[in-house]
Amino acid sequence: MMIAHVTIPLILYALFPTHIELLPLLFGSGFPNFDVFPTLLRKNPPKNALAETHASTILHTLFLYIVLLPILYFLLNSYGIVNGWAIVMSFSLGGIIHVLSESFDEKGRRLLYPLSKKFYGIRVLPYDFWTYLTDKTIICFEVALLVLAILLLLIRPFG
Amino acid sequence: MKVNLKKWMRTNGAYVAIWILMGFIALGLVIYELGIYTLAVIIPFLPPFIIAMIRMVQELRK
Repeated sequence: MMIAHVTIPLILYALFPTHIELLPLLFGSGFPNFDVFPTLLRKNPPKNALAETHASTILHTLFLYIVLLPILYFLLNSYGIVNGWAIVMSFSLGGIIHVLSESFDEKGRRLLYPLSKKFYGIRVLPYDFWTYLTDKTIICFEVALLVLAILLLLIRPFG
Repeated sequence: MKVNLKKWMRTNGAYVAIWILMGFIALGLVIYELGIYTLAVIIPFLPPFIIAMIRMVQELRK
């Protein structure tokens, strides 16, 4: 879904440009998808797509980005990077946006990990790539949010 | 699942075109905001993207 990777991060950046660093925000919003490699490198597709590795690892949990927040901050601080907090906060925010947006699909995400390994979410969107790609309602929703992002970037209401 | 890609594209070509267009617009917005640093966002994700494209075609032809 494009909203999880680009559109919502751009909307947030347009709303709070002085508080958010766009580069770490976008990197953070893409970071959870590095767990796609086992899925991509498998020999055969699984019978049940919902059981695949992608979106089931710690990279797709809120926990990781909350834990990384202080660790990365102290790391950047020790290297003397001035706006370390904005960078780290933007990166974590990107990851959290990604996980929360994707929790709206039928697989859900491990939102309460490590307390629970269950998948939670408001399951209104399809998980299957091809279904998502060809759903008129979803395309309208994605287009509407992209237009909103463009307008907000042009207007910059608070920046 | 064997899929006739030509037939599938005839049926769903408009959707694919809209997604590609949206992708380019989003890329344009990011380039507009970040300039050359856009590469820092794109490059780490290129390998999984390329593998995904190859695998997708392979699986559809099975």
